[in-house]
Amino acid sequence: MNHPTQAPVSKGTLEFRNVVKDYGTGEPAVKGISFRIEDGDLVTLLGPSGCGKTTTLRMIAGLELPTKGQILLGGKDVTEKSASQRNVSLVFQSYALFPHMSVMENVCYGPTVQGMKKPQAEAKANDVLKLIGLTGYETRLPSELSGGQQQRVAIARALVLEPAVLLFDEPLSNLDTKLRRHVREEIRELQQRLAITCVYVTHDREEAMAVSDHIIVMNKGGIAEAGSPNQLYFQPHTAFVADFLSEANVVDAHIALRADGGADVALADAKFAVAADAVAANATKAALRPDVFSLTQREGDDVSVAATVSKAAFVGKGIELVASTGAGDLFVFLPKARLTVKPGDAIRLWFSSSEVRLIV
Amino acid sequence: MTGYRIIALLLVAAGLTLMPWYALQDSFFAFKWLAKFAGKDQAPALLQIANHSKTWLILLPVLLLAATGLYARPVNAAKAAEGALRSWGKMVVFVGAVGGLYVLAQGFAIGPQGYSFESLKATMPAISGGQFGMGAGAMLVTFGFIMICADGIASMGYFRGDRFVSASLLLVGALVLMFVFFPVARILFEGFLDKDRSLSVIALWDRLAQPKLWNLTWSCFWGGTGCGVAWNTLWLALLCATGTTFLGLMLALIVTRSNFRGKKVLRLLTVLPIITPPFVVGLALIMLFGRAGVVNEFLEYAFGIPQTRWIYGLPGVLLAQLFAFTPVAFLVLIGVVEGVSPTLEEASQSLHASRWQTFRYVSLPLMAPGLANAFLVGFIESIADFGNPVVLGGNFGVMATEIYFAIVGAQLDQGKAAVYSLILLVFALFAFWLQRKATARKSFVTVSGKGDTGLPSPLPDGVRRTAIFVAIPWLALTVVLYGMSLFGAFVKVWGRDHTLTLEHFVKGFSIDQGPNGMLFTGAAWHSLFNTLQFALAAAPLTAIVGLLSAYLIARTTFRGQRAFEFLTLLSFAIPGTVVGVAYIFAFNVPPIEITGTGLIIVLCFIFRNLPVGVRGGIAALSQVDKSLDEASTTLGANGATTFRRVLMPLLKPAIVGALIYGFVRSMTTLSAIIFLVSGDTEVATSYIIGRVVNGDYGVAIAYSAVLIVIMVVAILLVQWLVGSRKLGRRSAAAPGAAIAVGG
Repeated sequence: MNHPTQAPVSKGTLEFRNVVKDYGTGEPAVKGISFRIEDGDLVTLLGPSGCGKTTTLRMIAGLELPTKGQILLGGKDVTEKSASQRNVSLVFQSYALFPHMSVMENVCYGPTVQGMKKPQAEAKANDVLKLIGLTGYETRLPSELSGGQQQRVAIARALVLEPAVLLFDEPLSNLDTKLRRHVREEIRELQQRLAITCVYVTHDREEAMAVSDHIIVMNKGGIAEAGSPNQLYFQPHTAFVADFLSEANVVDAHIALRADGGADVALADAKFAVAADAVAANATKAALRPDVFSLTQREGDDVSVAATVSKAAFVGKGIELVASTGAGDLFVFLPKARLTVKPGDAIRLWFSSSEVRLIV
Repeated sequence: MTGYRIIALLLVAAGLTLMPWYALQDSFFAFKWLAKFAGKDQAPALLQIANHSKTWLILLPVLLLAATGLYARPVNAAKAAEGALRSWGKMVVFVGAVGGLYVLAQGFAIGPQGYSFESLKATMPAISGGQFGMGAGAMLVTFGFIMICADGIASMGYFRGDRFVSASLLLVGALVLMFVFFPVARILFEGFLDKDRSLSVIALWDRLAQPKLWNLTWSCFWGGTGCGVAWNTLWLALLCATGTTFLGLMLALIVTRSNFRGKKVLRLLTVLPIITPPFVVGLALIMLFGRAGVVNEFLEYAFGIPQTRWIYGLPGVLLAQLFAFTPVAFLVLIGVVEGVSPTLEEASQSLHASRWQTFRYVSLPLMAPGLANAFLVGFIESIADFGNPVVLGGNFGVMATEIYFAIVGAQLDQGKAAVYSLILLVFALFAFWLQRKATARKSFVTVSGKGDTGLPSPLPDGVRRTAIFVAIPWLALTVVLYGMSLFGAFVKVWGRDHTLTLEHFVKGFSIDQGPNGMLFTGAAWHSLFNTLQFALAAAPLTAIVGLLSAYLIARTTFRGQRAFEFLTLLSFAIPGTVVGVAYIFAFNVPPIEITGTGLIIVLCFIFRNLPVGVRGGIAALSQVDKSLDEASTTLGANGATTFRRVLMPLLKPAIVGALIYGFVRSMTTLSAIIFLVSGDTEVATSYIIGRVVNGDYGVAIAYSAVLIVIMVVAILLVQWLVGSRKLGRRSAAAPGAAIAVGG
């Protein structure tokens, strides 16, 4: 292949070029994806189960080899390198701590199998254990640790090799809900302190948005959209991402493009205009997040649509409504509200036209 | 050069220059060959070429030089052009493969009288003299070349460049091909040979179409005489398999699904078949129901019913096999019944199914694959069984005994033995195929990784009553049988003179004080020491080969994996009798000429017990989450390190199991070994059968008792030595265990 000479790439830069993984069982698991992750970023692969995100992660780790395409790490082609030859560490979903080894032995395992002498390996391990806050647990067996501690050992074991890229496979899925927020903050904090490139796999959109610099949303073996959490949440381009990230209502609307790139929209009885930056190419549908609505006109609300309440439920943080309109059912979340409507009530739903995205 | 490559080269070099190339008349470990290092029979390959005109061996040192040359200029993968490493690897593969195959090929091509095939004489350069079987030197050289070949394969990028995996696969593959596949293929070949030892289909047909084999009348179904031996064998095996499966299921249900008080005792019984030498059940049945047996004596004394010989023939053999093999089925089915998820049964009950409906429509179908498996085991055990028919068969001939007499008896008809073995093999493979077919589409994995709570549903009344009704008499009879056989060891002549005596033990196991210390003067010592020696040598090798195979099957992927798995499990489906005959045919002539030695017995032990080692290994590996291997790999460990530092420690219980099983099975096996022992290498079971044939039951039983004690001690000792440190594996492996790679 013929690449122009490039400036030296820093070691934590990761690039996929048209990578395909086909297990030979019908549809390929990953259908030709390309992306580039910059050094020191935390990028999340987000998507529903079966979307190919774990396969992608395993290809980065070298546990699966791509059927086609190229993987570059720090500018070098590592496509054919096996897992043990890549400067990449993986924190497993199950942690995969060796149950017959103590914490210290687990952390020392990587350096020693790569030929480091035991004293040096232990010194390194001590540094990492200190960093991660596990000093004093060196002689424990994994079975004698709590779930959160086991996870830290797993991270320490991965970090001790000073990998160019650190991979996380759904690291929070085995922790209870309360601990999750805490651990994900720790992971993010550690990542920023060490300025290490991380790739993080999850199916939880809140988790993804909380930890990531960038998110790559995957669907059916391909990349649906990539961008910062803000971009993807507020300015999605596809119905899939709008629905997956913000549970947005995706409804059919009459769209008339204007010369300046903006569009005039007719959504049931509501008629309004949107600016050019809120219109995706070839847009046919309108996306409205559940939290943009109000039962009364607020400041900035400039449009309303007539609706009938068909379901209403109080969920603590607010109320959730399903309201039928001329453009179909809308799912509505009204924060800090109390249940004042009941099924059958006729209402008007107010929103700001600047919150509407026109998408494919 | 890496350590691996140095070792490979050194092995070949040592094999060519230091070790005797040909098999020695006496034992290698007697080291008498050191004294006559350059002798015609003892010389290593290089001297054979130089001094004894074995010119055809010259290719091997040449290949060694080629390999050394290649290794001296390795290709640096990081710097070399694309494809350079690959083509270098290709050359290494070529050298290694040619080396390994050439050792074999020249062994087959050139026998004691020069070329073995006429066609070679015409086309190849003339040679003087011939050669005998290969020895230690040839073995090392082959081993070294296999390592080199595997290194080349890994260098070419196969197996993810991991030569531990490629080397393990090549080695285990070569061993299994040589010692499982080749002997079986050899039997097939032998069946086609006519009296002049030339190939003919007619010879095969003549032997196949004998009325002695296939004669069939209605009376055959209840043990009539004059029936075809093949039908006898098949009918007996079907009855035995059905019976043992039914009895095993009933016992398993009682142990796992009832509050029967004798549960613990029942569980103990599962150990019995493994530690019971082959004749104990048969002999005990004779003591009980034979002409001079307790029952007949009593019937005649009390009711004047004349003594009969009903025990000799189909009923007796079947009864003995039921007692001998039911515990095996029981062992298989306990796991199966426990594997049925209580949640499913609770679901059935909550859907208003009665206990019987739950059992009939949920539990039983879930057990079906296990039942098929137990049936297969019973079937194969029965057709391979030699000990019980020879003791109790009378006029009721089965294939196993016919084969034995064809080889050992006055007929000395090897072709007949081969054809009979072939028929047995067809029966066994057919049963194996049926079982696979029956279970292939019903792989019910009922044990999920998630916490499976819930109580097993109680048995329906009918089933429970049947089970208890079966279990109690069975238990009682087993206790009586074993008690009797033990008692028999301490009386003078069973049935005639019931004076208590230790004379049988003295005869077998007396120790005298000689001038130079203890003298083991008892008649049985020789065979007992042999047995222990062979079993101790075979057990660790079985465990290693078994675990390596299991690792290759469960943890790596390569083309032909299914075939490899089938080969390692094949010897499970081959009746022991067939294995014995096959080994005689295969290893009686060069290049591998080992009949009459201890080596053939050890090899036979290893490959007979291999399937259990493999299955045990696979089962144990499936308990160890795959992410542990992957974690080790991502941390930079290669296959060998992962195997040694992660898998081996976690598989300790499985290794202990394989060791014990290998040892104990080796001590009690008979059907294959009976063909392979010689005067020097007599083992316990073959000694016992000699006594049985002579009607010397006392010594036979006394010996059996001694064996049982040794095996129990060995089991306890190994468990105590290795210990079973409980690992907190659950917390580490369990969370992800049930979750497949999603995402």
